[in-house]
Amino acid sequence: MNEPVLEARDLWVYYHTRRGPVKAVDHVSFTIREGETLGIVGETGCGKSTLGKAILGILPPKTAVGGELRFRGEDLLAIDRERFRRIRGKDLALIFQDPMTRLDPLMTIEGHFTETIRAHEDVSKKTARDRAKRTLASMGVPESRLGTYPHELSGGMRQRIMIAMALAMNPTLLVADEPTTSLDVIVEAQVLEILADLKRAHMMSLLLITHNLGIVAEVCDRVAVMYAGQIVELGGVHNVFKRPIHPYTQGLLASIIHLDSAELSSIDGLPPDLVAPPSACRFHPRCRYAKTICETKSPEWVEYRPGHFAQCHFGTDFL
Amino acid sequence: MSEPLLEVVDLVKWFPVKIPALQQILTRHSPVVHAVDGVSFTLDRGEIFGVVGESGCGKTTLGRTVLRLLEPKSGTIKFEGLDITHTKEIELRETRQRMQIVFQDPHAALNPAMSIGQSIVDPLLIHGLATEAEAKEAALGIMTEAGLSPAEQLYTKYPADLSGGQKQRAVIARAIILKPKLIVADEPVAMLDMSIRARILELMLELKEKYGLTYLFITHDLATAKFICDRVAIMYLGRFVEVGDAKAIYREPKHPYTKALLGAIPIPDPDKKRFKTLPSGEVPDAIYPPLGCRFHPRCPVVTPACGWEARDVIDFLESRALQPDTAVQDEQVLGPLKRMRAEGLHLRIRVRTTAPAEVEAYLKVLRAQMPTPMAEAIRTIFVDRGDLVVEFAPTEDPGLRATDGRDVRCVLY
Repeated sequence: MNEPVLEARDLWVYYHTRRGPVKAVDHVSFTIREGETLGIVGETGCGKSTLGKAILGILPPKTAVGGELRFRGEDLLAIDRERFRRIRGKDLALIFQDPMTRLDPLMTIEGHFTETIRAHEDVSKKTARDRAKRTLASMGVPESRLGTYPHELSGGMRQRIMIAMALAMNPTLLVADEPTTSLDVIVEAQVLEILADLKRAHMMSLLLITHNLGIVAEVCDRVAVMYAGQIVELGGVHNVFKRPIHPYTQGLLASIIHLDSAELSSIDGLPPDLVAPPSACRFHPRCRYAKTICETKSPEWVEYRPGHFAQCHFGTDFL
Repeated sequence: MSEPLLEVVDLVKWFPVKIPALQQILTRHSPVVHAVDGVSFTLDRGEIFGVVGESGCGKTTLGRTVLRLLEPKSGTIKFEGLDITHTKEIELRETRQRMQIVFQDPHAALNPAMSIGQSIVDPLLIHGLATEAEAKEAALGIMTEAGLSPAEQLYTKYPADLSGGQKQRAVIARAIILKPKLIVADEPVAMLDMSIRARILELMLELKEKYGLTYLFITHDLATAKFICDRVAIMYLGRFVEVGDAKAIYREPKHPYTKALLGAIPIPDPDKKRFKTLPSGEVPDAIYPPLGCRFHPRCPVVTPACGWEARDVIDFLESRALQPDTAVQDEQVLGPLKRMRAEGLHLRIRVRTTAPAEVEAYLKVLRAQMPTPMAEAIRTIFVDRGDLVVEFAPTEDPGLRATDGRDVRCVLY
């Protein structure tokens, strides 16, 4: 199998608040291999975006981070800011949900490109411009857009430009946090297609953070399901979608309203407060299979099938 | 059957676009956004009618104009048989009790300074329909029905204390406390997490049965619409392109845009990864909607009769500009794209520097490389006052036509 590009071991991120620490990411472990797409799915407040920010080293100040996070062998939590700056944007690229707020309104598209490229490589403006042109053309964006400002472009075009900027440096790993959530279905499908093509062409690894299970099924190789700051299930998309083990994954899959849905289903209860999360298995207050042990003892992380992990006392019942 | 609850005929709502004063003087007509551009439909009592479309298609504007939250430019709106298109605000107030709205964003739809209870009783008090004590009792009843329990306890809570799903339940409770007939539900579940969407939709269905409600259900999500709607209208750039029985449309979509929308939805099944034929480009600017069928520039099955125009040639040349060799050649002969003028059906190219004959010959070669329907739609190429003009044959919007149990706006049917 391919080399791991990113390895997280017992990674945790606690935000500092007046009420106490918010355990947004609470001891998660996973790896992303070369050329692989790993999906992180979960609902609002499950910690998926925090996880993405931790990988990119862009958490707010005073946030407590611990565990291990290795990017090509180098522990990202141990390196200094200067070193991180050199990696981020080059080997470790990112795209966000809302491209409008991530582009500088006073800078042309060309300005964005030359700034990014020249921050990492000692090249002339002309070389940078040529590279920008080529990258944009590869995703069907005409050269004339280089002279425009972000507000002159449509949402889909802006997201394409964000992707082009991220890819101009040939990154090893791209972290995409809800990259198509603000786009309409047709443009979303176009952007996902571009992303898949480019990933193949560059042998890039992709960490795709999303709440949309449809996108995960179409784009990802493996998927990690997050609930209340923890990864509750991880495996190949086929296994997780077809033979889910954790009751939360089961509930989440059943609740999707899609064109073939025969009936409506939902998960009762509310997502937990991450300052004082439920004891032991965090899903137990909402789980219909919960027994006493689920409140008292944290379930083990068990490999139920090759490469298919879940964290549930009754995992074997759902095989 | 009695008269329809709501009858909308040829509704038009345009928004003026702000342009600099000088420009306004120079150009004779000021530009407008064609948000809703000739929409007609009727809503029978007890029906759920879905309006589905992408952002910017005008669906939200349609919902708000129907409720007279926005003033229509033209057309008529009849509610319970009464023409309310131009009714004065003060006279409309009584009718307003029977037409309510549920907004998309529950976090923004509730006043953060009012408790949940205050928000829900407010409509009753505003309309002077109950004393405070009566209103509170009614509110507690409705809250329980809307799944906000224990109602007594949540009554005094503030929006900030509630989850997104609970807030949306409160918004729904506020909408039904006046016992309305019509509810415009504008993306009521779009902002909610997947695991609670179904509950809110179920709640809406329960309340509909219980109170005999009629919904105008606005959504961008075809899957949600399929689940809840009896009839649907697919909207594109201010117009309905396909309207009819939901089952028939989902079984066999006719309009190429409906097909494209359905095909683009990601399916949560890794075994069903499929090759998609996506329409090219994005939704064009609603200030200058395309001529003829508004979907024609993106349509995968476009014909010569769909409304080709000068701008389409510029788009075509722009796509050629992505390849370095054709880009250089095009610019050498035709000059920069910026200097070409698209005037409706006429594309004007200034040809001072090169001989018109050479440009004309080059255009003929280009024509052979265009998509066939575009090439066939060109009527003539001629020289006029130093301009080389490419002229397209005029076409009309196809209009909604009945086919196979629904109305479709497409020349193919």
